[in-house]
Amino acid sequence: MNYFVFLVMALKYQAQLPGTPEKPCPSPTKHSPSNEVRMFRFMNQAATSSDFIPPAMLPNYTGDRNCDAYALSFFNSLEAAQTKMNSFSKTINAAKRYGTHIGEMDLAVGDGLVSRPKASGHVNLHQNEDVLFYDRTIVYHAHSRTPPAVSIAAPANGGSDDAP
Amino acid sequence: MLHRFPESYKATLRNLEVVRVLEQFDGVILAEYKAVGTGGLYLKKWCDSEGSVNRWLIVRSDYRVLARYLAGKVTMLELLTCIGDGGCFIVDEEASNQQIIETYFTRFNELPHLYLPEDGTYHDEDLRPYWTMSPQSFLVGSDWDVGIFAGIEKRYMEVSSFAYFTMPGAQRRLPADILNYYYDGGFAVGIAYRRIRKSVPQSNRVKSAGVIASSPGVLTMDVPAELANHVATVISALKENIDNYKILHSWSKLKPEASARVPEDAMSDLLNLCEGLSVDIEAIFPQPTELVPNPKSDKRYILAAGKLIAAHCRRLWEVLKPGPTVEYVSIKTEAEESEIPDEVYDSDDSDVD
Repeated sequence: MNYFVFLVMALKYQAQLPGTPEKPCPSPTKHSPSNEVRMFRFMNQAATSSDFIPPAMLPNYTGDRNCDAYALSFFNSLEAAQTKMNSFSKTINAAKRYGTHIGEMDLAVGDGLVSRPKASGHVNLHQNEDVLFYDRTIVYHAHSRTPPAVSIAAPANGGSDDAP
Repeated sequence: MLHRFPESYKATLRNLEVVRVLEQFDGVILAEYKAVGTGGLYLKKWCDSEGSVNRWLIVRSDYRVLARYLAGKVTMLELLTCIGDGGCFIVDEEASNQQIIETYFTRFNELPHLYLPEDGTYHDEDLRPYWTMSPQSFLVGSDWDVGIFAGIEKRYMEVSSFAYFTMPGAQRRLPADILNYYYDGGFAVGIAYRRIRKSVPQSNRVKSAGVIASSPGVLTMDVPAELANHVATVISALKENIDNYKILHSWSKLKPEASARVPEDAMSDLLNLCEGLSVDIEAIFPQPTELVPNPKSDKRYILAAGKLIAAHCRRLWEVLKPGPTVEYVSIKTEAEESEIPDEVYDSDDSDVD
């Protein structure tokens, strides 16, 4: 990884990040610049900018304001996201807390800094300053045991819209 | 909109202080609290939110049940409903300053959906935040005595101290000249372990987090997380290293004056058991000196090292199975009585105290 590239990226929540020179946030050994990769995130349908706010920036956040709290949570597969959502749905009102759907979208070079996936498939993304995500969802997947996915990708060359 | 309960709770809630977050994902889901003054265990579970206000379910719970929950042995529903007469508190709290806005007292069967979890949901370790110290709990049956608690604590501290110096990658060594002790019987082994325990830096030592001396009781120790994970991994490998232990023990019980009878392939036996128990053999043997240029060829040192490793193995078995009415609940490995080798109970390691 190019450490110089890592340093010059302006992160959206740079001012709030709790890093120190001894312990930078995000850690350069645990994060890499984003590449083109399909990712999945809990959100509502249709997503708005409020579906892409890191937890520490939410008005009702009560957790530790550590480095991860200023990152967006993604999963590296639909299965991983569904598994986690299934588990949450038995414990809390997950739809209220995290969103009613799992959004599928492509990350791109320049989106931000991405952590290595955990065994659960969870990934943290520290987004870059000028990046917007809310209009990039390709497919919305309902939580399991509910109606099938709805694709909202814009048709090429002005063809007819996809219908659920 | 938050669910409306018929009546507010007018009295002041007991003063609680947070102990640790148990589960989180983009914020706290479940946290452990204790009552200031009495130390009683309370749990706080996220239920709902509106704007900057979070709604929490607060219940009394039981340390034994919490230990079993963290070990994946009881469900979250059992954890939250194990105490009391079916009642609970609902607290609406301002997120920015944790100021309580409203409190309700209600019954479990009057709660909206998913204020309590569905049955069959167990602790998800993936949701645990990073703990610098990992709680390790032992559940003690109703016929305990003080000696049981003291014995468990002593043995766990001994294995964790030995592991601190010998875990692979740590690049540490046991205290110098530990192999020079005259290992004739359990007294010297006990002295060696006492020296090893005292040599661990304070910040890396196991600390007794608390004893609930009720009937039945629970002993909890706070262990540096990396060390706790290492000890748990080693304990899970005990069963498959029984034969390695028996082979080594066949000569490690020799008296020091009989060290010439240590077999020629004893180092190989030592290496096998060390590898099986994730012990860095370089951490045990002293550095070469002019007087002893090759410690690993010196049968006196090999015998002493063998005794220490054998003692470590026996102590690990004792941690896994401290007694017929004691359960090391924080470990996922089970041990049937019949699987413990008889040699574990040998008197070579009789207690010093």
